[in-house]
Amino acid sequence: MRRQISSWEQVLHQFGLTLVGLFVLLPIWGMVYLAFEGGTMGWPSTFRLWPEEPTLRVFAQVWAQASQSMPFLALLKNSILVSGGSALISVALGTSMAYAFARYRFPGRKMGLFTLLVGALLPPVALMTPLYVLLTILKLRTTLLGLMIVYTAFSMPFCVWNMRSAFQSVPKDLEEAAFLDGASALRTFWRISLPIAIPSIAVAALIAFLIGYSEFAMGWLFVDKSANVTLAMAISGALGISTFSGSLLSALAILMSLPVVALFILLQHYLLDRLLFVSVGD
Amino acid sequence: MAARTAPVETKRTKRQRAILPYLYLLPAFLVMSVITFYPLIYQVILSFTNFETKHLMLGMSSPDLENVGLKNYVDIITGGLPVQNFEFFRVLVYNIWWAVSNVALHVPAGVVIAVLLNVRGLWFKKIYRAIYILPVVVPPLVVATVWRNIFDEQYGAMNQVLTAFVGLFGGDPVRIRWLFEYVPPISWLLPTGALPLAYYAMMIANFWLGWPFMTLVATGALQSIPSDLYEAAAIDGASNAQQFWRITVPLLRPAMVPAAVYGFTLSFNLFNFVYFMTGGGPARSTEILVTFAYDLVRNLRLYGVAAAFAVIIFFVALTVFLVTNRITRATESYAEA
Repeated sequence: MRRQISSWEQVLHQFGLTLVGLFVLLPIWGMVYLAFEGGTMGWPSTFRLWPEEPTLRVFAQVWAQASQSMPFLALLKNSILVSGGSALISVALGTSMAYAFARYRFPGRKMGLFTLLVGALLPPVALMTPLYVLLTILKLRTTLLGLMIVYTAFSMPFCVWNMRSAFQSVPKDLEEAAFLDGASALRTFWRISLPIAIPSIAVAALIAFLIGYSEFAMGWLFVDKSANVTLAMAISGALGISTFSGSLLSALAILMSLPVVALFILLQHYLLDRLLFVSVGD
Repeated sequence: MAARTAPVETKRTKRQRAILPYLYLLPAFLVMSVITFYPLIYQVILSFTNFETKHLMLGMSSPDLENVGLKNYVDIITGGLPVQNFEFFRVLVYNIWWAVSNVALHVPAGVVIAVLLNVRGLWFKKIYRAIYILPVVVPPLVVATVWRNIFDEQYGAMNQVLTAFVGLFGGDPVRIRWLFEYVPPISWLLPTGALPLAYYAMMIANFWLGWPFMTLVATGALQSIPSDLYEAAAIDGASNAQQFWRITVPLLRPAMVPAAVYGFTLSFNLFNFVYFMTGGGPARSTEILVTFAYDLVRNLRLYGVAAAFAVIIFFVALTVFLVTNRITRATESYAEA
């Protein structure tokens, strides 16, 4: 922390930081403006800083029908089911693998790590065609379960890779002490290492969740049943239709961000610490 | 675990211990084999075939699937694809330039803003922090929508504001086609193909998205710099600028290099954002590798070529990883010093 600042420095800093704040807020304000402006078609033709008659009409409309007769909550449910499900699968099955790679030396370890890295480095598009064929054969292609499988395929290697470093940062002495006290290897993992690593594992799960939550491109390839559309897909789809309205799109985008923003603000301090592996306190 | 000394080791427990790691691996390995590794191998085999839409139902067992050898790879690299406006090396160079130029903007801006924030007795610090975190939190898809609105030719805020400004001097309404103008503003910038106006628009939008993360990382690192260093420097008569270049910058480097590497890989594969802002247009001039791969599958339906392209992307990603990993490693020793 630097020393106390003088008053003219205070003014200078405030000026600079306010400009930055405006840069961040104005686009967001633009979106909020559009949503409350309530236009039915296209974009508003005049530019104002404040809506003439703020209205919740568009929010009500999106709430009742966000995309092709699907209400907002149904889409939100799809989104949470698919991305939450893939995050859970990735973490639940991946944890023990991450632990093995972090703590054991065994034949094939290097090879395994490399394959894992390959999976984590691949952009999702690289797996599209095979997954399409696979899910078509299994008759799962256009279902929520199918979409969950697709998102798991993307997020799992990445999750395991992240959790591995979480386990690596668990002090070895603790495990050795438990082992010397007669705890079995499984017990040591379950009672010592896992509880310590849980916060970082939660962050890995959250990242996996966010990947699924804002994914739309793969979704549109696999899903062609309107009942199984996710929120992100609805937003990207809203741009292409003939009854397009900027207000509607903005309202949908705001509603989609709210749960994530709320979650982040609730967990802010906790998350930032884990995300950066350094303390951000004040 | 070699240092571990177990009390008594019988033959049986020894064998159990040798099997144990594989048991830990099993659940995830089974699932990943089916949904990640099997598709991966499938994709590699696919890349040597002329796989098309009609093969999607039966997959590999389609009777008329042909082995075309390296044809797909050769076509991609030499420009033999039945696709307009696609030259592999132009897209590759653009993709690298896109990632590099983004990070080159985000890191310094992030550091400067973190330094401005990180002073004792600054008013409204909490409010600034709360505002600056917003771009990190809002889903990238939403960010892309917001900026697409802003750069809209007729109704976007950018042109409206410019119009209002020009109007003060009696000028005509501004109608800049930010995302779709094909004629590049600066024609000499990249040797393999000039950067279109959309590139600059996207740089602004992605700057909005990218700098707060760098500020977060820099803030964390700044707080771990002991204040005695600055006090000692001040006593020795070092100016503010000297303190910044001689203390702050070198001590931030170990934290910023990995963050920059992370930002690079993120921008390099920034699919959702690019796809949503321009879809790679105009005339594929803002196309990056992943958006083109998506186009190959979604619209062009050249699945065999797409598979070969995915394999190429993989090798590019691996190269990027190995290079950046070396950079991060090189700074590790610095961090401990």
